[in-house]
Amino acid sequence: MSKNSGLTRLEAVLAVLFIIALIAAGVGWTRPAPAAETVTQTVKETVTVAGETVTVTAAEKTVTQTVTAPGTTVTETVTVGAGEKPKITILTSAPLSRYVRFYEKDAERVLGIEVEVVEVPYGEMFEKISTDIITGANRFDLFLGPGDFIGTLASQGWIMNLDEFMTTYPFLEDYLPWIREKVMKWAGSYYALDFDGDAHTIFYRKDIWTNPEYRQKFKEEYGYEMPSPPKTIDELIDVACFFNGWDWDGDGEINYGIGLSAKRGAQSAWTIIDFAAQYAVKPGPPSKYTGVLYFDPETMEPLVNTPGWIEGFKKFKEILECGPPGITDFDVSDVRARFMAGELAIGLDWTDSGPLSIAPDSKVKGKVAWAKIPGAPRYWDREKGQWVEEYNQIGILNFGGWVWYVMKSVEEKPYKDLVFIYLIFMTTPDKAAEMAVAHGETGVNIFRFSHLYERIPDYWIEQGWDPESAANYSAVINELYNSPYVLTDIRIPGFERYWDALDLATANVATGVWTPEQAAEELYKAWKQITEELGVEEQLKWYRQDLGLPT
Amino acid sequence: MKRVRDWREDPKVKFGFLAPAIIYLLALLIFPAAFNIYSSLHRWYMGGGEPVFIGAANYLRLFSDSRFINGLSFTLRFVVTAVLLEIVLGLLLALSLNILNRGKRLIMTFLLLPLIMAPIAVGYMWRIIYHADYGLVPAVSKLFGIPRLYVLSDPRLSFWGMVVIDVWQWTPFVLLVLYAALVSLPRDPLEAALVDGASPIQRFRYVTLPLLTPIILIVLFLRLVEAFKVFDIIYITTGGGALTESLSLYIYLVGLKQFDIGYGGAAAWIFFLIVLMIVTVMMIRLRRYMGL
Repeated sequence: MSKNSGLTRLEAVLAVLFIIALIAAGVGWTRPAPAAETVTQTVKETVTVAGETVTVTAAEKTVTQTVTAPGTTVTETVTVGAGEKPKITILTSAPLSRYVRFYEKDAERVLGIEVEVVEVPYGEMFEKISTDIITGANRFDLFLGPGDFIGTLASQGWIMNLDEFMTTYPFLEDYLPWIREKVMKWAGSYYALDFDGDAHTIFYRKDIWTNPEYRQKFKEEYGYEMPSPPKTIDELIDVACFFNGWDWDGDGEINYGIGLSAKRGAQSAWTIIDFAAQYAVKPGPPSKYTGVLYFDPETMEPLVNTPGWIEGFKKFKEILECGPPGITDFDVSDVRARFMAGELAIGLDWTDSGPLSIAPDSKVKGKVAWAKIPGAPRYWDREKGQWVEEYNQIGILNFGGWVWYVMKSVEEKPYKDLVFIYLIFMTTPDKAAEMAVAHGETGVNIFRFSHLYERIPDYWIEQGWDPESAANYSAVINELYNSPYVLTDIRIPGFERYWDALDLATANVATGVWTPEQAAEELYKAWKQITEELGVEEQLKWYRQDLGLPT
Repeated sequence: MKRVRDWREDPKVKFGFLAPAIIYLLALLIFPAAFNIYSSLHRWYMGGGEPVFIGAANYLRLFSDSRFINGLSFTLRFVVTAVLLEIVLGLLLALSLNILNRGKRLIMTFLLLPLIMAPIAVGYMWRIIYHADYGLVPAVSKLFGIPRLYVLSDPRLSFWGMVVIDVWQWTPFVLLVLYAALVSLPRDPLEAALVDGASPIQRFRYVTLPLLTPIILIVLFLRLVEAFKVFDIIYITTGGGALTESLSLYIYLVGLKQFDIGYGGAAAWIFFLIVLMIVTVMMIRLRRYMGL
């Protein structure tokens, strides 16, 4: 027999292991799923979860949820057949999936339901939900997704109008005003139930800001007092450049000025609107010449090639000179990690910066101050075709927040009422506060009055906040959501296409592929083409509806 | 005498055995391809209502779409550069290994490591290597006193950054195949050349290379097809920024991120035809060369 024929010992061992693995996998695949748990005994259980009383009488399968909010008491009752265990299927993505899973067992135990969480990558959510609807599978009852999907989902009739639900929803008045009036509404109706507040702020190191030596140095260099906080984009650029490239915290390492998302496909589109809006939007309610950033609400003509937008691109490009090497390759995680590691003087990002600043591995705990996105010393008046030398600060609800959508197919499902009870259960003030204040890893940021520091100071302190930082962070967010006017993302069909073109233009300005003027022109052409393909009249109708203008 | 018909000749039986393959082809190849042609002739934005027939408008739009043209240009440049480098380096490494007497296995094991890594992992690894601040490349460039190299965000470097990643990952594949071919070459022609006094370069030029050419062409074919699909490393490292948007990435963004199903389908078809054309030319040349 040849020496090389047959299996060597090692090969034989590997082959046996492989076969064992296959058998094990096969057993795993073929093992029957555990039978759905059915309720056969008469159990009456009353659970009190911080202010809410939930009664479950399992034999008749009557689920009653009594929720007591400040000044409100609502009792919801739904009865389903004995022995049934309805399954509510939810589509969502990280990090908000952590919130759903956090209360998954509670919901199942208290409401006597089964909760199925289908988690997909962020970028696949829309594909997943639209495929589910178009194919008629209608697997999902609830969709916990981005607030800026609202226009597409509502205009297609894929989600339920929640106006009726909101008449009895006990916590509606607890929502911060623009969350309630903008994020949750589309075309004047409620289509979403918010569970997150998302907007950009700047956050900066107050410990170095108050250093007298640095303040003096800044004054000598720039000819004015170090602004605290920066009121204009120009001031922001000045302080970012001032703190860029030297060891201002004395740890022997070089520190840098500012961090923000500028990379392609890494949320830089939300960064550029912070800059462009200050120069391109005339304050006021949405109309032809005021309160709009993206399109002329009478013609659907893109506004991105106006001088205001070009100035925004220029300032964006300018501030990138005041950040760490390779800032053009920064995404959100870079901004957060580098700021929390104490390397950056300023960050520009979502309000997740609050909980992250008090996380155990944060090096900046108690050293951070927050402020609204700075304004501009002038803005472009499209009506007059000239710059207006007036301070302009525009609030933006970047991304809007994560919201619950109830899928249209739920209307036909026998456990429809239970879906709404689940929503109430999942959005009680205590849960919302717990997620927004104590669990930053869920991505939930404060979005209700009852979360504000002034309402529950002890709870904030318990989570590790110091009173000054908590009060400042909470007040900045409260102020933004109470601003006279705010902008949202583009919330009409084709959002992803418009946003991708904006993202490309922003990244190309950052990397020097396009000048600000070229970016504005290319973006104009791209948006114009998208609008024409989707139908100018149709898009105009949706845009006006989103802005709350008559159609 | 009546001849008993063999059941194996029964057309129904033949068809029965063929059915799984036919169903497989229909379901996973013919139907998707036909459906893609259908969608490419429509304006169809998922979430934007019913498909509307627009004829060849999607195809015509491609010719004025700067992103499509840039993507095609990037992809062609990338394929030519990366595959050429891989073939040359792979051949050089295979020849070097072939003349080594000791340590072949160890060297081969190390050289093959990139090949067994998932492209996503490769992308993340190179993203760290290229990272502008704490990456290896900027650190080394600083060490040598040259300006820091920001490979992922500098449009002058990003193309080469992507080529290097691809070459790093796929040269071992070329090496593996060519080395296997080298060790199995017939010894007689080489020994004859040696007896005739041919120099090493002459032996390579007139004996080894002609014998290896069919294998090189097959490797070239396989690498071309694969390189045209470049997606993962770009998606992970630059996201398509700094002028590195490949055609695959663009089609993915249009079709599956922006849900412009019709236009994405048209772009995919044109891309497919371009690749098909190149590959067909390659195959014809290969067949001619091999006398088939």
